[in-house]
Amino acid sequence: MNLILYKLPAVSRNLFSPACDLLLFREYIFYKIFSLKGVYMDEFTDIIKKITATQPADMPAGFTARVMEHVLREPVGIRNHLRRIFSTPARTFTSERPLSTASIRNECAFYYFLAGTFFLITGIVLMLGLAGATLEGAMARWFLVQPHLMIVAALWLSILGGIVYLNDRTKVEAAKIATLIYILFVFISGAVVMTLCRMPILMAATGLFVLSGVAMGFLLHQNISHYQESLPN
Amino acid sequence: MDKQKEQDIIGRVRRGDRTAFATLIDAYGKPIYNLALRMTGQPADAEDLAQETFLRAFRQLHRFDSNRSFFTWLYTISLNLIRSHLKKIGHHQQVDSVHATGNPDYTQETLDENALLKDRLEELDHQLQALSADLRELLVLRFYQDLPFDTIAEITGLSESAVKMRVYRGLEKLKNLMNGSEL
Repeated sequence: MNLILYKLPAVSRNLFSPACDLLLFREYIFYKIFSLKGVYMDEFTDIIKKITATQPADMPAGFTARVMEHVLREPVGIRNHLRRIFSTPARTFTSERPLSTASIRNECAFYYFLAGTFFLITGIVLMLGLAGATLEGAMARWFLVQPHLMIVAALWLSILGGIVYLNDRTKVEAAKIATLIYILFVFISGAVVMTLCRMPILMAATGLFVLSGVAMGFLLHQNISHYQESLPN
Repeated sequence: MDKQKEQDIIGRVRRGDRTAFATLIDAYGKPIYNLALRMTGQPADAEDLAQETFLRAFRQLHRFDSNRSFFTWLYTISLNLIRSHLKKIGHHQQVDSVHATGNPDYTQETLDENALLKDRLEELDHQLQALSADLRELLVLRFYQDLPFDTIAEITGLSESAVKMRVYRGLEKLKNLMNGSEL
């Protein structure tokens, strides 16, 4: 029976069916039996010796140079840049390394683009929501300008993402300072709204929004600082 | 190459220093070329596949997880390319022996010493090519490349026990093929 099972064609293992698990289990049992009998590999000593006696072939002459020729010719278009940024796995919030160093510039730039996208969507939603609103007074004017400020913040953060991606030490320093300006901007905007309006719910909502915006800014600042440290002097 | 140095080089390439990639090719070119050579039996195909492996690794470097071993990641890319290549050409054609067409210095040096060994090694390569690609790749990784079972399991995505059993089956088939050819 074992012999019959053993002679099953290997292709059957590639089928995603319960039979595949059974076959793997059978292989495992076989292996254990052979290990116990001490026959595993022993009967192939001769053939293994022959194989290991074979010397590895050397790389063809000029192999590295030929590969490097292609590597250096690889195009670096905007499409490639964007694809790399957005396909980079974000590891900053993994369970093993919470808030760890952003090891590569792609990651760092990606977080800026992500934050920018957040403000862009929030700004558009708010703009559409306030389109028909009829508010009066200084508070209303400041309130109605908020969606536009969010879009400005979105552009600001996206530009910073682009600057980070340029991979220049001086520009990274500038982006770091610009991140602090963004934090200040969010704080002032929230403070003005809270000063002008006296509605508890609106004040609480604004407070939460400012808190999340400032927290996001500090995380971005921390991330870019780590990235800056990893750059060569 | 130690992991720290490897990570440094990968970091440099990711930051745009493409020339640093040459160090990785120098370090891993030989095993990757040999893997392709043993799998295809054709030096020209092996060189193309090894080149393509490194080019693909370069293009996909931004996806490489630094917690993994670069070496096993490279092997996985190489094996996938080799599998596609073998599938494309339908590897039923008789291929020339690696020893007959491979590195001429090596073959000349070795074969002059012992004609019998030459025949045996050629026969071994010939029979290796007669094995199915999935068994052949495991034998190549285990014995030609001298990789431990757990690393092979990581590269191929199989369980360690499945790798061990398949290596056993590959050896058995190879032995049967060799015994059959001697009759």
